[in-house]
Amino acid sequence: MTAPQVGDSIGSSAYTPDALSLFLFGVAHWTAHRIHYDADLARAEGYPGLLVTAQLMSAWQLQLLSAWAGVAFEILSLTERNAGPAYSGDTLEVTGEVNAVEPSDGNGTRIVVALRVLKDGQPVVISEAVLRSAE
Amino acid sequence: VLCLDLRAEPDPSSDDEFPGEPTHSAIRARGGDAAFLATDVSAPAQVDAAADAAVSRWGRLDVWVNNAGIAAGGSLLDVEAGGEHGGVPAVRCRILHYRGRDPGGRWIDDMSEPNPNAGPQVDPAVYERIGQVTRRLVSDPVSLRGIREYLVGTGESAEGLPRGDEPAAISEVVAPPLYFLSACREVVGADQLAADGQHRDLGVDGVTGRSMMAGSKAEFLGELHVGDVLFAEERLASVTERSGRSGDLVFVETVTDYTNQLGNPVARYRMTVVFR
Repeated sequence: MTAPQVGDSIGSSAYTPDALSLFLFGVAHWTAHRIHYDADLARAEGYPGLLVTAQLMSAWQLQLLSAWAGVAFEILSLTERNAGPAYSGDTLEVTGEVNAVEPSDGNGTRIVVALRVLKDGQPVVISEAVLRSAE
Repeated sequence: VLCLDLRAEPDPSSDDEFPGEPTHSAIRARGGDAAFLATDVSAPAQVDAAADAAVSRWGRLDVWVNNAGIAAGGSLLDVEAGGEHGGVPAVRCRILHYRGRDPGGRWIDDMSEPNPNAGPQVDPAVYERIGQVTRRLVSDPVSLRGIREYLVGTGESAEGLPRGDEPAAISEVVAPPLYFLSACREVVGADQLAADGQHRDLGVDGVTGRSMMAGSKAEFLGELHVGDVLFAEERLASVTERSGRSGDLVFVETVTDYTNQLGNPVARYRMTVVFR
């Protein structure tokens, strides 16, 4: 990897979660919350469809980040703010770009990446990750 | 009091066409509050409608006596509820705290269940617990199976994982960064889940309402391997009450430290849950 610069894109990925993918994550994450698989209950709670599990979108962001960072950088943290709901059938885009490159406390480099999960261009999740060059 | 001990169709063999009405009139005459509703107590839909009417009028239902006319099973208070309303002519009694229905239409029949329609409720004692440990748990050992399920569940390929009979390769497997959260989810039966399927994973005791996650910060402090056991210790960091455009909101912030069986840190997870 060439040295990252502020403004660099870390790429993007797209997902269209459906009832099956929400079920598979529900099994892995052991969540029985009905709003993720019971469409009737989700509608009764006022949602138009099944809600996409927040931790699933967190995992997608880390996948994109890990693929970009490779072995050159280690991920120190991911801070997320949930900005809006996402539903089964929505097409969600995960994107990110380098926001800061600065010397780390040690010899390496500290990088801040701004991440977004977008639905029709509007943020569903707004995040920031901090990485450090691997020793 | 809601009086409804009456067949919707008057019983032709009875001289008393409306036996419930004098009861409710008598209660009112003595300064009480009572309503009368003609209901066939052997028809579940009518009984449900009567319960709805009572909750709508008085906010909740503390004692429920569904009496189809024939006492059976000893003392009224000893009769099991059984969850049935009709069919068998017998006394059915429930002493409960019905407070309405959850979004799925099921009765909320236990005072320990938060009322989803009540808005956020904060027990003032919760403020004294800020900084204190609010939960501890020990995970099951991390398994190759669990990691495989997580990779599949998050849309990644699990083909790179070793087979179960490759112990050397298994020892090299590192769990995905956020897997510590899934590994610490408590596996409980339906009887321990709320009507909406949730377990106690969001927030702390003493704050109730409809909850959703507002935000989080995960710090990744060490690798997690197959066979590792996680020790999670949650502390209450803050409770903030606010008034928003759509009503009152309560933000509960917790910080959970995850260490492995050697005492080495694996992660720290700060979570903010909003109750509305």
